[in-house]
Amino acid sequence: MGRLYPHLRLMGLCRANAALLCAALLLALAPAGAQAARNGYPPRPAASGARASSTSEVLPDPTLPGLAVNGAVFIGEGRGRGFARCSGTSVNAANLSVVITAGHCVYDEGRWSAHRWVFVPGYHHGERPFGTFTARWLGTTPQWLAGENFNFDVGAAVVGRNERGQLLADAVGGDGIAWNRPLHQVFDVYGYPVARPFDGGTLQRCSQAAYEGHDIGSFLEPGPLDLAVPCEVSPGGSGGGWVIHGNVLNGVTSLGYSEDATTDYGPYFGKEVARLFARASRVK
Amino acid sequence: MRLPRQAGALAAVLLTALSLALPGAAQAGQPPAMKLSLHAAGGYQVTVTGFDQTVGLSVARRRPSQHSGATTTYIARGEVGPDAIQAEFGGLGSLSMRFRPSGQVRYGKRGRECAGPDRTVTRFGRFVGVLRFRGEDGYVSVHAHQAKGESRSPYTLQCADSGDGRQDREAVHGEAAEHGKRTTLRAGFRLGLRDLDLEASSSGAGQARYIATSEQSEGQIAIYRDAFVQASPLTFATDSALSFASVSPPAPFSGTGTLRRAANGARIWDGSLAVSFLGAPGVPLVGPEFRTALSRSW
Repeated sequence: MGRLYPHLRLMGLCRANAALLCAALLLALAPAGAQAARNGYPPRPAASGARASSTSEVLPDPTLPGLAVNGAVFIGEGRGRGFARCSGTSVNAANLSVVITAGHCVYDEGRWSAHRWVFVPGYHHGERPFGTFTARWLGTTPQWLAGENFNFDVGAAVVGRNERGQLLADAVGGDGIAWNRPLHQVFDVYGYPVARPFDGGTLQRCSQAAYEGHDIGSFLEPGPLDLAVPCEVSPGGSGGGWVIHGNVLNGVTSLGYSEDATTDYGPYFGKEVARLFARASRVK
Repeated sequence: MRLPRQAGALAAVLLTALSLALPGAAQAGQPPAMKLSLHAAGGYQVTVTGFDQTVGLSVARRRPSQHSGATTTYIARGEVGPDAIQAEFGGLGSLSMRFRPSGQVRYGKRGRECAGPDRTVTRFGRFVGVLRFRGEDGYVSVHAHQAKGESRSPYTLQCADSGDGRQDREAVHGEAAEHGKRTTLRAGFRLGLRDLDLEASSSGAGQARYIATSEQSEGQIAIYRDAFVQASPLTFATDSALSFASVSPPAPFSGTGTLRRAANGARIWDGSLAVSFLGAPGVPLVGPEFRTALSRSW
């Protein structure tokens, strides 16, 4: 009867990272630079190309321009303990190295996912066409950090260069990111769900308008009410991007209910997400 | 650790925020929880509870002589400040009241190993302002300018102990009072922003108990409903193999629900069973969308 995704991570817990706990929590709202926007940050294409527009589908070639910003996240659980899975999105940032995901994909059950956090853009059945990008900084919202408030279940990673020496956004591009947008958008929901009926090997996309309502649990915690879309997502899809206008990130998959796999919930992107993005963008 | 939110726990969290020390992110200086209550025509009790940005308005009606009752709670975003509470309940009403303490104060039991405050302080008084509320189709209507209430600060304690253990003992007594095998039928479904569940249970010659709950979100408010009744054990029939069950609870329920096996082994849950929640009469409790479970204790 409970919210599902955060509690069905594939393997165990993550280790704490005390250094990250010391990171400053409150930084300026808007990203610096000419590309900064009042309520967002523009996309950075890796190359020309357009996305397909069907509603619910397996994307057989996630390396296509515009799709490769989506990736699978592998979270090491320590020696011999396997890894957890999430999803994430490369977003355009000043340091060209920011991945946005769910808060519980970087900080879960009171611990940072510090062992080894790897983003694999364009992942497809074990293939890593753009290599792997290992996190060197993780962050989340103060509300997720303090009390795992699902209305703020958003996380960020700043990743290092891949095996070819490329920065993330140079390799695959980056979606824009927007906040404080109207509630009822049409979202392209991306992710690499692992649990049945999915297998974790393919990028999934579901295009749906958000419900005009919210998870009832969202009302019981402070913050902006969450969003819901009629999309089937299973564990592993956490952190997958909710994209508007084709290439602007405006949400992430956060949770679901075991009794209803066909409804996906994610936090509203408000000012706290803007602050998180600004913090991540400033990491050198 | 963030615990899963269970359907049945939501109303309890909201309605008992003032009376339980819940573990959580309690912080010194957090705004208080507010509660006010009043009676409305038709035998309804209206209670408003607010904490943080959450305000719930509960409408309850108990029928002790019939061992039944129902509660509907409307939950909305609001503002709960040090001495005021306000919220909008969509098209159903609004609340904007200030708290005027009477001077009567009650101190809670001190907790051990608390992070921050180690006890709660409850101030009693009156709320003045405006509360307007009209339930769906006017089943209840309230227009009040004052109501008795209280302000409790902090509304949660973060303590290592869990009070005086009274709840644990009550639970033990409850278990000890159960004689015979308990048979339980559960039926429910969740789809989109709606959840509907029925639990029927019966043990030996004791009373059969029925409770239905509903959650839904409509725009900027969430609505949680429950209805319950205790009835004759004859209203809950099953066979020894648990291949069949039939329930016919009295009001606020109506009709009969039947769980049986089809020739291919599939469960069929059908009939005319429905429940009348406050503000939502005649909600069907049977159909192919319901998942069912029939079990019996050892």
